[in-house]
Amino acid sequence: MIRINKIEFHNYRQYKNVSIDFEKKNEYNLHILRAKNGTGKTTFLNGILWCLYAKEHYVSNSSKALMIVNESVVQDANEGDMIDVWIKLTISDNDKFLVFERNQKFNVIYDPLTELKKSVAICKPILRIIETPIFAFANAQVYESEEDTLRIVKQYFDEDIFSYYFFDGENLKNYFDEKNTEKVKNSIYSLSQVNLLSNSSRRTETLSVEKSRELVKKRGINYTIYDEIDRMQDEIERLENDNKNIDIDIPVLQKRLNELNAQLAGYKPIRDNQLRRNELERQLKNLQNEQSELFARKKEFIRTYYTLFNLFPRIKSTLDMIIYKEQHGELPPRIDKKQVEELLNNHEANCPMCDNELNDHAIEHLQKLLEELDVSSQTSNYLSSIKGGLENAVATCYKYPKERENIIKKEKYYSEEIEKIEKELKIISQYLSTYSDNSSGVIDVSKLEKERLEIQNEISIKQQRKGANDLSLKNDKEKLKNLQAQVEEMEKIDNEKILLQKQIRLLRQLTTSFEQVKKNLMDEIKVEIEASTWRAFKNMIWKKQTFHSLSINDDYQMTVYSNNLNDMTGSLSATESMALAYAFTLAIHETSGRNCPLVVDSPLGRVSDENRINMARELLKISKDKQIIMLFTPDEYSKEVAEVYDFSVASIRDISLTQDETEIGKVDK
Amino acid sequence: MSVSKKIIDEIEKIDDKDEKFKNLMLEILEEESKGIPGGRFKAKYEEMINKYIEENIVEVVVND
Repeated sequence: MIRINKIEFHNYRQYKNVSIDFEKKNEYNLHILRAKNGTGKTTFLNGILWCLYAKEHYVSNSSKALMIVNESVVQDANEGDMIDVWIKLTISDNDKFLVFERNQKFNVIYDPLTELKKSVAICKPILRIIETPIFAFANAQVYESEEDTLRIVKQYFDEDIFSYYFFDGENLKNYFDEKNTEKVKNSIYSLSQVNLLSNSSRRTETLSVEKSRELVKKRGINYTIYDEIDRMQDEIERLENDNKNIDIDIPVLQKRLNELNAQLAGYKPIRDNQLRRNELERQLKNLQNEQSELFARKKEFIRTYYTLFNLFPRIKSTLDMIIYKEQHGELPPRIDKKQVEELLNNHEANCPMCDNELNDHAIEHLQKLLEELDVSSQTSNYLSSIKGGLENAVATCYKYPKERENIIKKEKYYSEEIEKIEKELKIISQYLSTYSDNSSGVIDVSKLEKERLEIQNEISIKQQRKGANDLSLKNDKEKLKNLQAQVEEMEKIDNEKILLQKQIRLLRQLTTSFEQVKKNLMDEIKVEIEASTWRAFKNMIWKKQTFHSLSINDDYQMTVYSNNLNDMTGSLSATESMALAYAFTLAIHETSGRNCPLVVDSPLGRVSDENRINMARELLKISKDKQIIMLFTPDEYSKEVAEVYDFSVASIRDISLTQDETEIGKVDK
Repeated sequence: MSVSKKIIDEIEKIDDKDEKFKNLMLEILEEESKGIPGGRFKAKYEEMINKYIEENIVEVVVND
């Protein structure tokens, strides 16, 4: 149970120096303060509100203009003096004391218009809270930051529903209006941690939406790439095997060629022709190599210029655009993203523009801004970086006619030279193939020469095939390497996709479950409040047969039903309305999970006759489990009430003013 | 502040989820009750859900 143990006032309105203890002396937690109208009953209530919230919610309009400083203190002070106003509210909560201490300083000045001194506030009212364990006074913890003090006050006496802790029996007309019940609902949700569930649900949903967007951007795996890799691997194997066979065949052929050459070398006319032929073949080989290089260059030349001429109009117009934009200062400025990045990295920092905390929305905005800055600065950098490349491309295009002429000239030269050598070789070959000389003895020269030519051709074909195989192998291996890199990248993306899909599924399940728990909790809270309100209401009213039930809708609006199930909320008497207000208040206290004290001004305000006693008795019963502080005028504290609330069950005090009516004189028991 | 008993009881009542999933819900709520600044929640949530995914089988959503 949470109890108010003590309240101390210093220079606060008519409470100049007043301290009231609320000690528990019997099984009841009932405290009665009696005061005539205008003595300070409502000021007492306002004092507690000022201490907790720095606002006096029950102050009347005419009083609003008055400073809270005790008037006699101001008049007794000297001009320029400083006056402290403070109120200390001490509560106990199980194993700890909490002292809420609100203080405000005022200066005394002279008002030439009224010829009186008056007080002027020189600072905002400041709250500090001292938390002390009941059994270890040395370890007090002091909370002074606004964040901490607001949080603690909200935990105990949420300002949004202050009228349900500090109850004004004379002022119930707005008690059940929509604005108030909406606040009750929100406060209950906050105390019951429904907001915690809402937050978690909202955040899992936000994250799952983001992950889904990320997933959409990821490319799917292209499975045909695996077939391509298989095909490539087979081809490489085939070419390598072919090369292996060629490597075996050529030495064998070469050996036979050498044998034939050795045999034919014994005859002078043949030898001379052979030597000449060797020389011509060497020249032919060199020329063919150079011609091959020229073909390769020609191929590259055609490829380069084909691409360049196709792209030329776009290259030229892009280059012209960049030059134009540079000359007219139209390229976006390079932006320093450092400050935005620092803000994002240091989330606890406040916004440098408005000094507000960076909430989810602000962080999201900054991330978008950073992306836009990235795009803008990337565009600028990109255009500048491609300019040089574009200029080179245009310059290359203009070199085309000269390069083309050069290649054609060389092509013609190689063709003519090769044709000449081949012609001479043919003549030598013909001569050797038909050579007939009896002096050669048993050797058939033409036959040998024919075989020699065939072997030479075969070697040449095999060498060419090997060369082509090597080239294909080089290309295929390069291609295979690229394909394998692509597969690796795709598999990496695929793994990321799988993780994203798992995350999305889990996040969606979490959102649904948080929402389900939230709904169940909200329903349960509503049912609890409904049942608790109905129970307390039934106990307080004397007409036991009139009412059937009570219901609370999703907006926490209440409906009371008669026995024939008609809505009779609008027809409740003043007494019944008050009983309903008490019942609802007690239900809120119960559901909040914190058994807070109830401070009531005019507790039996409009309740008449028999109902007064019923209600007084019911409140006494409730005070066994809850501290209740009641503020009565002597008239309200009638004889019948006094019989229920006598000194044996309640601590009763009278509050009265001094003779000059400037301050509370005494608080008598 | 820690997660209230009422919420723990409500989580317990979810019948189509296993203990580990319920523990993850509680872990998230515990972290939320301590207060996670707006800019850090994504990293914190990812840390918690990735740990869960590593330790448990989570079916992949087909055609998502």
